[in-house]
Amino acid sequence: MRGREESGLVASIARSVWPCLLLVAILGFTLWVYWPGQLGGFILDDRSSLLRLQALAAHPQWFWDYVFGDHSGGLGRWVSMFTFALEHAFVDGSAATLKRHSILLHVLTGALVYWFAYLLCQSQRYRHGAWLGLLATTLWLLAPQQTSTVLYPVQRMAMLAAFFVLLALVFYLKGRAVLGVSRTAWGWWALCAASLGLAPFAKENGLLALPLIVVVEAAFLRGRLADGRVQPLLRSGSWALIGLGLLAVVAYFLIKFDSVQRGYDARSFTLQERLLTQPGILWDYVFQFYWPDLARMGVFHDDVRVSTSLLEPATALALASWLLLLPAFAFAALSGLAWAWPLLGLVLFFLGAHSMESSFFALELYFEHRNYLPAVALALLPAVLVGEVGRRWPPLSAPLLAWGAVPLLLLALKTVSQVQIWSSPTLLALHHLQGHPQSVRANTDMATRMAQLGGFEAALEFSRTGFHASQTQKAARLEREGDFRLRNIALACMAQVPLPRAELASLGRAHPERPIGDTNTLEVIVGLQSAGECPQFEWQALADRFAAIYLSEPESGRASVGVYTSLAVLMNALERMQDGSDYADLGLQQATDNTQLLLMSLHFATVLGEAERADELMSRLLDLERANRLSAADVTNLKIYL
Amino acid sequence: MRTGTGRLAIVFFAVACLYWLASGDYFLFDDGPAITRNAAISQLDLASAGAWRDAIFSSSAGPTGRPLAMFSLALNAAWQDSLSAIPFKLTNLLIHLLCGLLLLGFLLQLQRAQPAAAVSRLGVPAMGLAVALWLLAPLHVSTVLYPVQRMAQLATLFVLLGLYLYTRWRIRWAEQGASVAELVAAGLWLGLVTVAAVMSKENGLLLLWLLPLVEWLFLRGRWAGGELPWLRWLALLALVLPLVLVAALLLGAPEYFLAGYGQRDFSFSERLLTQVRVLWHYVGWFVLPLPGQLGFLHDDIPVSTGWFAPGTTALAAVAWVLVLAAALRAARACPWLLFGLLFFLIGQSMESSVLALEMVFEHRNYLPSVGLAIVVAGALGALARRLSARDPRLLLLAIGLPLVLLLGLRTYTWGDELRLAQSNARHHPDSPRGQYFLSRALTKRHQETLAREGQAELDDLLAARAALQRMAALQPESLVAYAALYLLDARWFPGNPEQGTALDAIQARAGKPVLSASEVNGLNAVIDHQLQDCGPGAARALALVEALRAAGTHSLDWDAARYHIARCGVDGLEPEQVLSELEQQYPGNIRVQYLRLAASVEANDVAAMYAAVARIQALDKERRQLSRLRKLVSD
Repeated sequence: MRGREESGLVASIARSVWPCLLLVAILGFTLWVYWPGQLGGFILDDRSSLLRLQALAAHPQWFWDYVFGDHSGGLGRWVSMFTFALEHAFVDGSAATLKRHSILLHVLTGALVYWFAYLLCQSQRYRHGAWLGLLATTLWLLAPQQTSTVLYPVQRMAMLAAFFVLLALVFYLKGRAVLGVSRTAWGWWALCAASLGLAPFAKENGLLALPLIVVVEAAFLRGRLADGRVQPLLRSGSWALIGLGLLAVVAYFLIKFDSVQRGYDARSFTLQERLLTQPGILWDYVFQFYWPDLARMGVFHDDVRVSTSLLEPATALALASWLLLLPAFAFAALSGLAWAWPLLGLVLFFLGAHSMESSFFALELYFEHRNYLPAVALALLPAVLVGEVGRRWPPLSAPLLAWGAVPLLLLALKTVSQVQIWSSPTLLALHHLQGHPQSVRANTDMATRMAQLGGFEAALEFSRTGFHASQTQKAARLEREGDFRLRNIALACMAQVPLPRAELASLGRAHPERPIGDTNTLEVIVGLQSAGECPQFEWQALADRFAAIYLSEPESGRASVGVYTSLAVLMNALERMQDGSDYADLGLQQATDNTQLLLMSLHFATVLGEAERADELMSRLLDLERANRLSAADVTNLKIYL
Repeated sequence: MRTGTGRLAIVFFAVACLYWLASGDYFLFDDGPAITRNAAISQLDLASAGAWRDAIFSSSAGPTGRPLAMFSLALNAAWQDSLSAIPFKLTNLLIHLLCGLLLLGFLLQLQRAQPAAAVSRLGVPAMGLAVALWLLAPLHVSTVLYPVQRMAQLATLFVLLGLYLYTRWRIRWAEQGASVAELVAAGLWLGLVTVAAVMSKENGLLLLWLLPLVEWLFLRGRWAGGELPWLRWLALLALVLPLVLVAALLLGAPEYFLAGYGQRDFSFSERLLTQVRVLWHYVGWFVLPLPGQLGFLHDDIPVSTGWFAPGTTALAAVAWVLVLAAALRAARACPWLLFGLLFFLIGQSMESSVLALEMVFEHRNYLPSVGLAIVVAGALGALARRLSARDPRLLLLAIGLPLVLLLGLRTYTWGDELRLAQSNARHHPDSPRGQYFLSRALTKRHQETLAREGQAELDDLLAARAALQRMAALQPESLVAYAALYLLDARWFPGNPEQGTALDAIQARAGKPVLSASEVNGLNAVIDHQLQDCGPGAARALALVEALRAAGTHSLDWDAARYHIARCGVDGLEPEQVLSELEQQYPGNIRVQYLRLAASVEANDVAAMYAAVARIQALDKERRQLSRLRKLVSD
């Protein structure tokens, strides 16, 4: 008897050891596949979100300013910023360092996906639960779609949010597994609560952890306790919570409708168009996950087709299929078909995880990183299907799992090639342009690249294509002609050619009420000037042109605060203090408590000898300091004038 | 049950030793494109996932590119600093032994599956004997010691695995039946094994044809203790279906098969007629593996141009009909005979029938010879029963010992490249390729002696020249021998005036309507040599290229050579203009885009560089150029 027990234990250990060993091997394999990706550089939002952190190397005392100074998304993303700040303060903060850590985080999150998938399969009492978990994990880890999240440094935010959401889900499942059996459940739930608390501060999507837990309870656990009893409160309560959650979202939408609608002022598409386009995009995320069209993959999707009417067949089909999928599975589940419950759960998980970025908020239409967390549901789908098939027809489990290795291998090989592309900025830029020839960003990115290599004419051509695309692509940001001209001027500087007079003369002619809409290009110009990239450039002529546009008949509403700030910085560098002071004043008319503008105004007033004005500004800044509204960097700067 | 495990273990050990001792460090012809000249394999960066991907997809052989076989070759190459053939050959040996084990498993199951109605049944010892015959067959030396034939070996390995699994399950189902889930599971496993076999080499697909053969002749529709006649009929249908499909394809879309014959110096009908004889050669080489008959190259076997040209064609066909008819007649009582013969023919069906492949290769017998081993073992078993008064071990010794000796002799021959080439030339004096192979081996020995001792006699080079001259005499219409002679003289006898004669001979033959792959390679090598350092040969190269173009044998090789000639400053050719013509003529060709990229780099034209890289990326749908581009852009 004892011998039999021992041999059973050995068999049990053997059963769990092999999947564990394979999991370690798969995590290592993923690391190996992704590792060359660290060679690529920064792209797109990395520059605006992360490059400023480079100041931390010289000013480590600003650490917490940077951690808590990020206000993107409403809540601030201090958890993510904390990791970025650490990398800048203690490592070199290079793109390679950031990517390396993101790759490690991806692998770590993969381990969490395994834990989650394993617990979920266990809760469904599937045969070969550990192997099913491996199937889901490998698919999630090595799907080519994940490349643009893992190797895009700023998407660490999405990754960390997914990490904490998964952590919360795992802790919840662990707690649920011992609920009513052991007091340790509370320990697990305390950990779950901590994860829930951290997730939204990595990125707002972290708020979805709670709804996703409710979905898991409602569709997977269904109130069943470890001892087999069913807790009706849990079962019906979870569904009630889902209903309440939906009502809350509808209520938020109605109450905040004006605010939501206002967000679309800066977009080329409307709220209605976004709502009509998203169902198709959601299907595209699904197809791109399982059957990737690598040529289209990447960061730039600002050429995605916008649906304008429900009468378009593709739009109607996409919307109808999502709308039918849920009731179909719900009906099947309620009709007693047990297999429909987990499938319903996966659909709810996928849609729930997309609900923040792929619904009514006025965000851009398409980003692959938005599927990072929802892809967990997609990765679980084959595992659940094999689990359900194996439950009814046990002999099929093993061959289906073995067959699973074939698509996984093919996907992994595709990911290898995708990582190769991401490891070379040139190949990545060309890849983006080939897959999205009408993308504004892909074209302007290539224009920059050409200019940096001295090909000004080629750069202008790409810049023109980008500008034209911005006028025709609804998904893209509508570019003002002034932005286009300004970009061409920046390209000339990069290409080391003289200031193009024709561009300068055209600057500000179109849309005189607000000629420049994009702050980024102006920031690039400021950066180029301060770095001395093109010393022979006629900067004063450019400054004259700006003065003609903004200072001949000053009106604050002609530009954004960001534009005025950049202009003030540029004028300071060009030692045109009066112009700088005027721009700062125009900016302050819109944002009276903008500390950066106040400090700049103080600087200009001091240099220009305007003592009275300087005293007034100093007094306002001291008030702000007393109100604790100045950052450490601001205080340091202020002290210079005290 | 006596399985003769001990004796079989000795056979496995003997095979391992004989092959191990003969694994010489040299590669052969087809190893070039797959291994030695394939940078993705020969210069594989062990640490790079991208490099492994390149290696896996680096072959253009067959419709699949044989990724599994390429992966296994990459595994051999990965841990070597300088490429040695020995690990490849030892891995092949390991696969050979594994195939032997799987064959044993399959035949033991087959033995259990024999129908009760069979009068002549194969016993376990006969099955063991079949495995021994297959393992010891000297015919397989040219597969096991030829690294690139890993492809054929792996395909065989998976086919045998599939046959073993199917027969094993089927015996259980014959007794107990099976649920639908079990059937689907078995189908899934067999499907997976088939995929693995096909990804090693396309012959792996034959597993799906061999399974109905097992079903039809051995299991005969037995199911759950009873019989299902429809199942046997279904098996027969599945057995006939591929023939019907091929016939339908031949009638409906003959160009699918015939297109390839444009590049061959034999026609469709000539191939079919010749194969009838070649199949008997294969049988002979397996059954009676005389050293004089076997060889590395068999291009001395004359092509059949009609049923009586040579007369043995008709004889061979009649013999096949008679043998098959006899086996069919005896199928009920003696199923193994028909099984063995059909196994052999099905195993040969892909490479020895309608497809425009070369005529003869010994490695094509690696899988099909399983059928021959069964037939021979069955016949010997029957003979042993007739000689029941005597000790059957004597019979075994009488067959086994000579076989081991012949295998030893052949592996010894294969242990050294020059020995193999000399043996091949001696036994196949009419083989043009044999002469070429000999000249190459002699030149290589001369080079090695020179490298080792600083000086070397010219004997080897003169012998190499003589071999090439014999080749030219054997194949007067081909330019390969002249190209090789020209290159040999250019390298080792630069003052020899016969170089001009060789060039004239090449030019005279360059106008042929069809050039074989070897001739194209030879021409390319000659043109490359003439263009070295843009010397005086450039003008002669232009004349050669223009002759080729005038003959209408347009090829990117010649047209690209024209561009290189233009870059050498030959009068009348403007490089940019030639390159533009190339781009117009070959708009979807990656090689041309690399030429454009190189030209853009030389001109320091950034926009053109990016455009060329972009076009390469766009054309490279399978992303085989990524690593190369990655190195080129180096940002």
